[in-house]
Amino acid sequence: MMRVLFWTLAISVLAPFAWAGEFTSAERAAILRHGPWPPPDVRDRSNRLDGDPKAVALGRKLFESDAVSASGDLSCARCHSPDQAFADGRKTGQAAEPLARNTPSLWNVRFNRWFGWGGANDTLWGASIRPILNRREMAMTPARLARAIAAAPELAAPYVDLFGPPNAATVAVNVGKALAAYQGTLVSPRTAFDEFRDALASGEADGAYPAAAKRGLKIFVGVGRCAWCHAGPNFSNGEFEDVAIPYFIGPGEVDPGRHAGLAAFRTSPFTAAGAYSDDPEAAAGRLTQRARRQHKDWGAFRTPSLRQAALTPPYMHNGSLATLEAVVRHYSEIDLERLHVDGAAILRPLDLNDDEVADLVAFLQTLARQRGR
Amino acid sequence: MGARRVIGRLAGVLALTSGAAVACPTLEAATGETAGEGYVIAFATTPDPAPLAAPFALDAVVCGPRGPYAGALRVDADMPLHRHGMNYAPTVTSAASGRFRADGMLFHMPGAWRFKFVLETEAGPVRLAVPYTLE
Repeated sequence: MMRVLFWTLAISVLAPFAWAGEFTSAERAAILRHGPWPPPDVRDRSNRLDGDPKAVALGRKLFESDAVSASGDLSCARCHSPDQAFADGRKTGQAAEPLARNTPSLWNVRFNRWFGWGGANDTLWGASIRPILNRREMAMTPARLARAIAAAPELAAPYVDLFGPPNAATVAVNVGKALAAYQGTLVSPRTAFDEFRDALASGEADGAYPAAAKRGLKIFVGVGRCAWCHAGPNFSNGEFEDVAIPYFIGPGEVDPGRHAGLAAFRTSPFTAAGAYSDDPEAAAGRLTQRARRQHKDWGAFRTPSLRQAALTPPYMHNGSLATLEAVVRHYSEIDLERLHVDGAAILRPLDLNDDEVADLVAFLQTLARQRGR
Repeated sequence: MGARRVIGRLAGVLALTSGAAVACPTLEAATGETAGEGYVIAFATTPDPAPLAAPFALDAVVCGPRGPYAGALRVDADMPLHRHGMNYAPTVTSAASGRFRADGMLFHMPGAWRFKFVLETEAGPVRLAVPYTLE
Protein backbone atom coordinates (compact mmCIF):
# COMPACT_ATOMS: atom_id res chain seq x y z
CA MET A 1 0.00 0.00 0.00
CA MET A 2 2.79 2.40 0.96
CA ARG A 3 4.64 1.54 -2.24
CA VAL A 4 1.56 2.36 -4.33
CA LEU A 5 1.12 5.63 -2.48
CA PHE A 6 4.80 6.49 -3.04
CA TRP A 7 4.62 5.95 -6.79
CA THR A 8 1.31 7.79 -7.02
CA LEU A 9 2.84 10.78 -5.28
CA ALA A 10 6.05 10.54 -7.29
CA ILE A 11 4.20 10.46 -10.59
CA SER A 12 1.96 13.36 -9.64
CA VAL A 13 4.92 15.47 -8.56
CA LEU A 14 7.25 14.61 -11.41
CA ALA A 15 4.78 14.40 -14.29
CA PRO A 16 4.88 18.12 -15.07
CA PHE A 17 8.63 17.87 -15.64
CA ALA A 18 8.69 14.60 -17.53
CA TRP A 19 8.19 16.21 -20.95
CA ALA A 20 11.05 18.63 -20.35
CA GLY A 21 13.38 15.69 -20.83
CA GLU A 22 12.28 15.42 -24.46
CA PHE A 23 14.52 18.35 -25.29
CA THR A 24 18.19 18.88 -24.57
CA SER A 25 19.22 22.02 -22.71
CA ALA A 26 20.43 23.53 -26.01
CA GLU A 27 17.12 22.75 -27.71
CA ARG A 28 15.21 24.15 -24.75
CA ALA A 29 17.22 27.40 -24.94
CA ALA A 30 16.59 27.60 -28.68
CA ILE A 31 12.85 27.08 -28.19
CA LEU A 32 12.65 29.80 -25.55
CA ARG A 33 14.21 32.28 -27.97
CA HIS A 34 11.00 32.06 -30.06
CA GLY A 35 9.08 33.99 -27.45
CA PRO A 36 7.51 35.48 -25.50
CA TRP A 37 4.60 36.44 -27.72
CA PRO A 38 3.49 39.10 -28.34
CA PRO A 39 6.81 40.93 -28.09
CA PRO A 40 7.11 44.27 -26.29
CA ASP A 41 5.32 47.09 -28.08
CA VAL A 42 7.87 49.38 -29.75
CA ARG A 43 6.49 52.43 -31.52
CA ASP A 44 7.50 53.20 -35.09
CA ARG A 45 9.28 56.51 -34.57
CA SER A 46 9.22 57.26 -38.29
CA ASN A 47 5.40 57.44 -38.11
CA ARG A 48 3.97 59.84 -35.52
CA LEU A 49 0.55 58.25 -36.12
CA ASP A 50 1.59 54.75 -35.04
CA GLY A 51 -0.79 53.81 -32.24
CA ASP A 52 -3.02 56.86 -32.76
CA PRO A 53 -6.65 55.62 -32.50
CA LYS A 54 -7.95 58.17 -35.04
CA ALA A 55 -5.25 57.18 -37.53
CA VAL A 56 -5.98 53.49 -36.95
CA ALA A 57 -9.69 54.08 -37.68
CA LEU A 58 -8.95 56.11 -40.82
CA GLY A 59 -6.34 53.58 -41.90
CA ARG A 60 -8.88 50.79 -41.69
CA LYS A 61 -11.38 52.76 -43.79
CA LEU A 62 -8.67 53.47 -46.37
CA PHE A 63 -7.62 49.80 -46.32
CA GLU A 64 -11.14 48.68 -47.13
CA SER A 65 -11.93 51.44 -49.64
CA ASP A 66 -11.98 51.01 -53.43
CA ALA A 67 -11.49 54.78 -53.73
CA VAL A 68 -7.72 54.47 -53.35
CA SER A 69 -7.38 52.71 -56.72
CA ALA A 70 -7.50 54.31 -60.15
CA SER A 71 -10.02 51.75 -61.34
CA GLY A 72 -12.27 52.49 -58.36
CA ASP A 73 -12.85 48.80 -57.73
CA LEU A 74 -9.67 47.67 -55.99
CA SER A 75 -8.94 48.04 -52.29
CA CYS A 76 -5.94 46.99 -50.18
CA ALA A 77 -8.26 44.41 -48.60
CA ARG A 78 -8.94 42.84 -51.99
CA CYS A 79 -5.42 41.38 -52.08
CA HIS A 80 -4.76 41.42 -48.33
CA SER A 81 -8.10 39.91 -47.34
CA PRO A 82 -8.89 39.79 -43.60
CA ASP A 83 -10.76 36.56 -44.35
CA GLN A 84 -7.62 34.99 -45.79
CA ALA A 85 -5.13 35.99 -43.10
CA PHE A 86 -4.48 39.27 -44.94
CA ALA A 87 -3.24 37.45 -48.06
CA ASP A 88 -5.19 36.41 -51.16
CA GLY A 89 -4.67 32.67 -51.48
CA ARG A 90 -3.45 33.10 -55.06
CA LYS A 91 -0.14 31.89 -56.44
CA THR A 92 0.80 35.42 -57.48
CA GLY A 93 -1.00 38.71 -57.02
CA GLN A 94 -3.57 40.20 -59.33
CA ALA A 95 -4.09 43.98 -59.19
CA ALA A 96 -4.42 46.35 -62.15
CA GLU A 97 -2.14 43.85 -63.88
CA PRO A 98 -0.94 40.35 -63.03
CA LEU A 99 1.97 40.50 -60.61
CA ALA A 100 5.05 38.28 -60.40
CA ARG A 101 5.11 37.72 -56.65
CA ASN A 102 2.95 36.01 -54.06
CA THR A 103 0.93 38.44 -51.93
CA PRO A 104 2.45 38.40 -48.44
CA SER A 105 0.25 38.30 -45.35
CA LEU A 106 0.10 41.47 -43.27
CA TRP A 107 0.00 39.68 -39.93
CA ASN A 108 2.78 41.03 -37.69
CA VAL A 109 4.04 43.27 -40.47
CA ARG A 110 4.93 45.96 -37.92
CA PHE A 111 7.85 43.81 -36.73
CA ASN A 112 9.60 43.85 -40.12
CA ARG A 113 12.85 45.70 -40.67
CA TRP A 114 12.31 45.55 -44.43
CA PHE A 115 9.01 45.34 -46.31
CA GLY A 116 8.09 43.35 -49.39
CA TRP A 117 9.84 40.25 -50.71
CA GLY A 118 12.78 42.35 -51.92
CA GLY A 119 12.89 44.83 -49.08
CA ALA A 120 12.24 47.91 -51.19
CA ASN A 121 11.11 49.88 -48.13
CA ASP A 122 12.27 50.24 -44.55
CA THR A 123 9.02 51.82 -43.36
CA LEU A 124 5.54 50.32 -43.27
CA TRP A 125 4.08 53.62 -44.42
CA GLY A 126 6.46 53.75 -47.37
CA ALA A 127 5.55 50.18 -48.26
CA SER A 128 1.88 51.19 -48.10
CA ILE A 129 2.35 54.10 -50.51
CA ARG A 130 4.16 51.99 -53.11
CA PRO A 131 1.25 49.80 -54.34
CA ILE A 132 -1.12 52.78 -54.43
CA LEU A 133 1.15 54.70 -56.81
CA ASN A 134 2.44 51.65 -58.72
CA ARG A 135 0.85 51.60 -62.19
CA ARG A 136 0.69 47.78 -62.12
CA GLU A 137 -1.17 47.72 -58.82
CA MET A 138 -3.57 50.51 -57.84
CA ALA A 139 -2.21 52.97 -60.39
CA MET A 140 -3.09 56.17 -58.54
CA THR A 141 -1.47 59.59 -58.78
CA PRO A 142 -1.25 61.88 -55.75
CA ALA A 143 -3.59 64.43 -57.33
CA ARG A 144 -6.16 61.78 -58.18
CA LEU A 145 -5.85 60.24 -54.71
CA ALA A 146 -6.54 63.63 -53.08
CA ARG A 147 -9.64 64.09 -55.23
CA ALA A 148 -10.86 60.57 -54.49
CA ILE A 149 -10.58 61.03 -50.73
CA ALA A 150 -12.30 64.42 -50.85
CA ALA A 151 -15.16 62.82 -52.77
CA ALA A 152 -15.62 59.83 -50.44
CA PRO A 153 -17.69 60.89 -47.40
CA GLU A 154 -16.48 58.01 -45.21
CA LEU A 155 -12.87 59.05 -45.87
CA ALA A 156 -13.04 62.82 -46.21
CA ALA A 157 -14.20 63.72 -42.69
CA PRO A 158 -11.69 61.62 -40.72
CA TYR A 159 -8.92 62.61 -43.16
CA VAL A 160 -9.63 66.32 -42.70
CA ASP A 161 -9.84 65.82 -38.95
CA LEU A 162 -6.31 64.38 -38.90
CA PHE A 163 -4.55 66.22 -41.71
CA GLY A 164 -6.73 69.02 -43.06
CA PRO A 165 -8.07 69.09 -46.63
CA PRO A 166 -6.32 66.56 -48.89
CA ASN A 167 -3.84 67.95 -51.40
CA ALA A 168 -1.52 66.34 -53.89
CA ALA A 169 1.65 67.38 -52.06
CA THR A 170 0.97 65.52 -48.84
CA VAL A 171 -1.81 63.00 -49.46
CA ALA A 172 0.37 59.99 -50.32
CA VAL A 173 2.44 60.22 -47.16
CA ASN A 174 -0.61 60.88 -44.99
CA VAL A 175 -2.49 57.94 -46.47
CA GLY A 176 0.57 55.73 -46.09
CA LYS A 177 0.98 56.62 -42.43
CA ALA A 178 -2.71 56.09 -41.64
CA LEU A 179 -2.63 52.73 -43.44
CA ALA A 180 0.49 51.81 -41.49
CA ALA A 181 -1.21 52.76 -38.20
CA TYR A 182 -4.00 50.29 -39.00
CA GLN A 183 -1.68 47.52 -40.18
CA GLY A 184 0.39 48.03 -37.06
CA THR A 185 -2.52 46.67 -35.04
CA LEU A 186 -2.43 43.34 -36.88
CA VAL A 187 -0.54 41.36 -34.28
CA SER A 188 -1.44 37.69 -34.43
CA PRO A 189 -2.99 35.96 -31.42
CA ARG A 190 -1.10 33.61 -29.15
CA THR A 191 -0.92 30.07 -30.39
CA ALA A 192 -0.57 26.53 -29.08
CA PHE A 193 3.19 26.91 -29.56
CA ASP A 194 3.24 30.03 -27.36
CA GLU A 195 1.43 28.20 -24.58
CA PHE A 196 3.92 25.35 -24.85
CA ARG A 197 6.92 27.67 -24.99
CA ASP A 198 5.82 29.63 -21.92
CA ALA A 199 5.09 26.42 -20.04
CA LEU A 200 8.61 25.24 -20.90
CA ALA A 201 9.99 28.55 -19.64
CA SER A 202 8.18 28.32 -16.33
CA GLY A 203 8.73 24.60 -15.81
CA GLU A 204 5.03 23.80 -16.01
CA ALA A 205 3.49 21.08 -18.11
CA ASP A 206 1.53 21.69 -21.29
CA GLY A 207 0.09 18.31 -21.99
CA ALA A 208 -2.12 19.73 -24.75
CA TYR A 209 0.78 20.34 -27.13
CA PRO A 210 0.74 17.52 -29.70
CA ALA A 211 3.53 14.95 -29.64
CA ALA A 212 4.01 15.31 -33.40
CA ALA A 213 4.49 19.06 -33.01
CA LYS A 214 7.12 18.46 -30.34
CA ARG A 215 8.99 16.13 -32.67
CA GLY A 216 8.74 18.68 -35.45
CA LEU A 217 9.94 21.44 -33.14
CA LYS A 218 12.96 19.33 -32.27
CA ILE A 219 13.84 19.10 -35.98
CA PHE A 220 13.13 22.83 -36.44
CA VAL A 221 15.62 23.99 -33.81
CA GLY A 222 18.03 21.10 -34.39
CA VAL A 223 19.10 19.20 -37.47
CA GLY A 224 16.71 21.13 -39.70
CA ARG A 225 18.59 24.40 -39.02
CA CYS A 226 15.27 26.16 -39.76
CA ALA A 227 15.76 28.51 -36.82
CA TRP A 228 18.93 29.90 -38.34
CA CYS A 229 16.80 32.14 -40.55
CA HIS A 230 13.33 31.72 -39.01
CA ALA A 231 14.65 33.16 -35.77
CA GLY A 232 13.17 34.90 -32.77
CA PRO A 233 9.58 35.41 -31.59
CA ASN A 234 8.39 36.31 -35.09
CA PHE A 235 10.18 33.34 -36.68
CA SER A 236 12.15 35.53 -39.09
CA ASN A 237 15.55 37.18 -38.91
CA GLY A 238 14.20 39.87 -41.22
CA GLU A 239 16.94 39.36 -43.80
CA PHE A 240 17.22 37.85 -47.30
CA GLU A 241 18.26 34.44 -48.57
CA ASP A 242 18.44 32.48 -51.79
CA VAL A 243 16.65 29.21 -51.02
CA ALA A 244 16.81 27.64 -54.48
CA ILE A 245 13.40 28.81 -55.66
CA PRO A 246 13.68 29.76 -59.34
CA TYR A 247 13.54 33.46 -60.01
CA PHE A 248 12.72 33.27 -63.69
CA ILE A 249 9.30 34.81 -64.24
CA GLY A 250 9.04 34.43 -68.00
CA PRO A 251 11.13 34.03 -71.12
CA GLY A 252 14.16 36.25 -70.61
CA GLU A 253 12.65 37.75 -67.46
CA VAL A 254 13.93 37.36 -63.94
CA ASP A 255 12.91 38.64 -60.52
CA PRO A 256 16.16 39.99 -59.03
CA GLY A 257 14.70 39.92 -55.50
CA ARG A 258 16.80 41.75 -52.92
CA HIS A 259 19.08 43.14 -55.62
CA ALA A 260 16.23 45.19 -57.08
CA GLY A 261 14.68 45.85 -53.67
CA LEU A 262 17.79 47.51 -52.33
CA ALA A 263 18.17 49.56 -55.50
CA ALA A 264 14.56 50.78 -55.13
CA PHE A 265 15.16 51.56 -51.47
CA ARG A 266 18.17 53.69 -52.33
CA THR A 267 16.04 55.95 -54.52
CA SER A 268 12.88 55.98 -52.39
CA PRO A 269 11.88 59.24 -50.71
CA PHE A 270 9.78 57.29 -48.20
CA THR A 271 12.51 55.93 -45.91
CA ALA A 272 12.96 56.07 -42.15
CA ALA A 273 15.87 58.45 -42.64
CA GLY A 274 14.19 60.48 -45.38
CA ALA A 275 12.49 63.85 -45.49
CA TYR A 276 9.01 62.43 -44.86
CA SER A 277 10.02 60.49 -41.76
CA ASP A 278 8.80 61.82 -38.43
CA ASP A 279 12.13 60.87 -36.88
CA PRO A 280 14.88 60.77 -39.50
CA GLU A 281 17.48 60.24 -36.82
CA ALA A 282 15.80 57.04 -35.70
CA ALA A 283 18.04 54.04 -35.20
CA ALA A 284 16.08 52.01 -37.75
CA GLY A 285 16.91 54.55 -40.39
CA ARG A 286 20.56 54.59 -39.52
CA LEU A 287 20.84 50.81 -39.76
CA THR A 288 18.98 50.33 -43.02
CA GLN A 289 20.95 53.13 -44.63
CA ARG A 290 24.04 50.98 -44.04
CA ALA A 291 22.71 47.99 -45.98
CA ARG A 292 25.38 46.51 -48.22
CA ARG A 293 24.88 45.65 -51.87
CA GLN A 294 26.14 42.11 -52.29
CA HIS A 295 26.39 39.57 -55.10
CA LYS A 296 24.28 37.18 -53.05
CA ASP A 297 21.37 39.67 -53.15
CA TRP A 298 20.50 38.49 -56.64
CA GLY A 299 17.54 36.14 -56.39
CA ALA A 300 17.40 36.43 -52.60
CA PHE A 301 14.06 37.13 -50.94
CA ARG A 302 13.02 38.18 -47.45
CA THR A 303 12.69 35.42 -44.88
CA PRO A 304 8.97 35.41 -44.10
CA SER A 305 7.57 35.01 -40.61
CA LEU A 306 6.15 31.57 -39.97
CA ARG A 307 3.44 32.87 -37.65
CA GLN A 308 0.05 32.36 -39.32
CA ALA A 309 1.84 30.77 -42.29
CA ALA A 310 -0.41 27.72 -42.08
CA LEU A 311 -3.30 30.06 -42.99
CA THR A 312 -1.64 31.60 -46.06
CA PRO A 313 -0.92 29.04 -48.79
CA PRO A 314 0.62 29.01 -51.34
CA TYR A 315 4.21 29.69 -50.34
CA MET A 316 7.54 31.22 -51.37
CA HIS A 317 8.07 34.52 -53.20
CA ASN A 318 6.44 33.18 -56.35
CA GLY A 319 3.75 31.07 -54.70
CA SER A 320 5.20 27.99 -56.36
CA LEU A 321 4.72 25.62 -53.41
CA ALA A 322 1.09 24.86 -52.68
CA THR A 323 1.27 23.46 -49.17
CA LEU A 324 3.38 23.49 -46.03
CA GLU A 325 4.26 19.88 -46.78
CA ALA A 326 5.60 20.94 -50.17
CA VAL A 327 7.72 23.60 -48.47
CA VAL A 328 9.18 21.09 -46.02
CA ARG A 329 9.88 18.63 -48.84
CA HIS A 330 11.57 21.44 -50.82
CA TYR A 331 14.10 21.91 -48.01
CA SER A 332 14.37 18.17 -47.45
CA GLU A 333 15.27 17.54 -51.08
CA ILE A 334 16.79 20.91 -51.94
CA ASP A 335 18.71 21.12 -55.21
CA LEU A 336 21.98 22.81 -54.30
CA GLU A 337 22.75 23.32 -57.99
CA ARG A 338 20.10 26.04 -57.96
CA LEU A 339 21.95 28.10 -55.35
CA HIS A 340 24.45 30.81 -56.19
CA VAL A 341 27.99 29.51 -56.31
CA ASP A 342 29.09 32.55 -54.32
CA GLY A 343 26.10 32.49 -52.01
CA ALA A 344 25.98 31.52 -48.37
CA ALA A 345 26.69 27.86 -47.58
CA ILE A 346 23.77 27.25 -45.27
CA LEU A 347 21.37 24.86 -46.92
CA ARG A 348 21.80 21.16 -47.51
CA PRO A 349 19.25 18.42 -48.14
CA LEU A 350 17.66 17.30 -44.88
CA ASP A 351 16.61 13.89 -46.22
CA LEU A 352 13.58 13.73 -43.95
CA ASN A 353 11.38 10.65 -44.02
CA ASP A 354 7.60 10.93 -44.37
CA ASP A 355 7.00 10.87 -40.61
CA GLU A 356 9.51 13.67 -40.05
CA VAL A 357 7.93 15.76 -42.80
CA ALA A 358 4.55 15.28 -41.14
CA ASP A 359 6.02 16.22 -37.75
CA LEU A 360 7.50 19.48 -39.08
CA VAL A 361 4.18 20.35 -40.69
CA ALA A 362 2.40 19.57 -37.40
CA PHE A 363 4.75 21.97 -35.64
CA LEU A 364 4.24 24.74 -38.21
CA GLN A 365 0.49 24.39 -37.80
CA THR A 366 0.82 25.20 -34.09
CA LEU A 367 2.20 28.64 -35.05
CA ALA A 368 -1.17 29.69 -36.47
CA ARG A 369 -4.51 30.58 -35.01
CA GLN A 370 -7.58 32.19 -36.50
CA ARG A 371 -8.76 35.35 -34.78
CA GLY A 372 -11.45 34.78 -32.17
CA ARG A 373 -10.73 31.06 -31.85
CA MET B 1 33.58 31.80 -26.82
CA GLY B 2 30.00 33.04 -26.51
CA ALA B 3 29.71 35.93 -24.17
CA ARG B 4 32.90 35.15 -22.34
CA ARG B 5 33.77 38.17 -20.34
CA VAL B 6 37.34 39.21 -19.84
CA ILE B 7 37.16 41.57 -16.94
CA GLY B 8 39.59 44.37 -17.18
CA ARG B 9 41.95 42.47 -19.47
CA LEU B 10 43.51 45.66 -20.68
CA ALA B 11 43.69 47.24 -17.28
CA GLY B 12 47.29 47.89 -16.60
CA VAL B 13 48.47 46.85 -20.03
CA LEU B 14 51.71 48.64 -20.59
CA ALA B 15 53.48 49.39 -23.79
CA LEU B 16 57.14 50.24 -23.96
CA THR B 17 58.25 53.22 -25.94
CA SER B 18 61.77 54.64 -25.86
CA GLY B 19 62.39 52.71 -22.71
CA ALA B 20 59.46 54.30 -20.90
CA ALA B 21 56.23 52.52 -19.99
CA VAL B 22 53.02 54.06 -21.47
CA ALA B 23 49.73 52.96 -20.00
CA CYS B 24 46.96 51.99 -22.43
CA PRO B 25 43.34 52.80 -21.65
CA THR B 26 41.16 50.39 -19.77
CA LEU B 27 38.06 48.53 -20.90
CA GLU B 28 36.48 47.49 -17.65
CA ALA B 29 34.26 44.70 -18.94
CA ALA B 30 35.31 43.21 -22.25
CA THR B 31 33.51 40.65 -24.37
CA GLY B 32 36.80 39.46 -25.79
CA GLU B 33 40.21 40.43 -27.05
CA THR B 34 42.67 39.68 -29.81
CA ALA B 35 46.35 40.45 -30.22
CA GLY B 36 49.04 40.36 -32.87
CA GLU B 37 51.97 42.27 -34.36
CA GLY B 38 52.36 44.27 -31.17
CA TYR B 39 48.72 45.35 -30.94
CA VAL B 40 46.04 44.33 -28.48
CA ILE B 41 42.35 44.97 -29.10
CA ALA B 42 39.84 44.52 -26.28
CA PHE B 43 36.23 44.88 -27.27
CA ALA B 44 32.77 44.84 -25.74
CA THR B 45 29.41 44.53 -27.45
CA THR B 46 26.36 46.48 -26.34
CA PRO B 47 24.31 44.60 -25.41
CA ASP B 48 26.50 41.74 -24.25
CA PRO B 49 26.07 39.08 -25.53
CA ALA B 50 25.35 40.35 -29.01
CA PRO B 51 21.68 39.88 -29.94
CA LEU B 52 20.38 37.78 -32.81
CA ALA B 53 18.94 39.71 -35.77
CA ALA B 54 19.03 43.05 -33.96
CA PRO B 55 21.55 45.86 -34.18
CA PHE B 56 24.29 46.23 -31.62
CA ALA B 57 27.34 48.40 -31.02
CA LEU B 58 30.94 47.41 -30.40
CA ASP B 59 33.36 49.43 -28.27
CA ALA B 60 37.04 48.72 -28.74
CA VAL B 61 40.21 49.83 -27.04
CA VAL B 62 43.37 49.40 -29.09
CA CYS B 63 46.83 49.32 -27.57
CA GLY B 64 49.87 49.46 -29.81
CA PRO B 65 53.60 49.08 -29.32
CA ARG B 66 53.88 52.73 -28.41
CA GLY B 67 50.77 53.05 -26.33
CA PRO B 68 47.19 53.93 -27.26
CA TYR B 69 46.61 53.41 -31.00
CA ALA B 70 45.81 56.66 -32.80
CA GLY B 71 45.29 55.48 -36.38
CA ALA B 72 42.21 54.34 -38.24
CA LEU B 73 40.30 51.18 -37.34
CA ARG B 74 37.93 49.14 -39.50
CA VAL B 75 35.54 46.67 -37.90
CA ASP B 76 33.61 43.90 -39.62
CA ALA B 77 32.43 40.35 -39.00
CA ASP B 78 31.69 37.21 -40.98
CA MET B 79 30.67 33.56 -40.68
CA PRO B 80 33.52 31.72 -42.45
CA LEU B 81 31.74 28.35 -42.54
CA HIS B 82 28.61 29.95 -44.03
CA ARG B 83 30.66 32.05 -46.47
CA HIS B 84 28.86 35.28 -45.66
CA GLY B 85 29.44 38.46 -43.74
CA MET B 86 27.13 41.01 -42.23
CA ASN B 87 24.46 42.57 -44.41
CA TYR B 88 25.28 46.02 -43.01
CA ALA B 89 28.45 48.08 -43.05
CA PRO B 90 29.19 49.37 -39.54
CA THR B 91 30.35 52.92 -39.00
CA VAL B 92 33.42 53.36 -36.79
CA THR B 93 34.05 56.53 -34.85
CA SER B 94 37.18 57.19 -32.83
CA ALA B 95 37.68 58.91 -29.54
CA ALA B 96 40.84 59.79 -27.68
CA SER B 97 43.23 57.27 -26.14
CA GLY B 98 42.75 54.42 -28.57
CA ARG B 99 39.01 54.14 -28.03
CA PHE B 100 36.65 53.34 -30.91
CA ARG B 101 32.95 52.62 -31.34
CA ALA B 102 31.36 50.66 -34.20
CA ASP B 103 27.63 51.22 -34.73
CA GLY B 104 25.34 49.26 -36.99
CA MET B 105 26.58 45.73 -36.37
CA LEU B 106 23.98 43.00 -36.92
CA PHE B 107 24.35 39.21 -36.72
CA HIS B 108 21.45 37.75 -38.67
CA MET B 109 22.14 34.12 -37.78
CA PRO B 110 23.23 32.16 -34.74
CA GLY B 111 26.48 30.24 -34.93
CA ALA B 112 30.20 30.78 -35.44
CA TRP B 113 30.93 34.41 -36.23
CA ARG B 114 34.32 36.10 -36.41
CA PHE B 115 35.02 39.72 -35.50
CA LYS B 116 37.54 41.23 -37.87
CA PHE B 117 39.65 44.32 -37.18
CA VAL B 118 41.96 46.19 -39.52
CA LEU B 119 44.42 48.72 -38.11
CA GLU B 120 45.74 51.14 -40.69
CA THR B 121 49.25 51.52 -39.28
CA GLU B 122 52.21 53.38 -40.75
CA ALA B 123 53.74 50.01 -41.59
CA GLY B 124 50.63 48.89 -43.42
CA PRO B 125 47.36 47.23 -42.45
CA VAL B 126 47.38 44.95 -39.43
CA ARG B 127 44.55 42.41 -39.55
CA LEU B 128 43.31 40.77 -36.40
CA ALA B 129 40.35 38.47 -35.88
CA VAL B 130 38.67 36.68 -33.04
CA PRO B 131 35.94 34.00 -33.09
CA TYR B 132 32.60 34.66 -31.45
CA THR B 133 29.78 32.17 -31.06
CA LEU B 134 26.25 33.53 -31.07
CA GLU B 135 23.83 31.15 -29.38
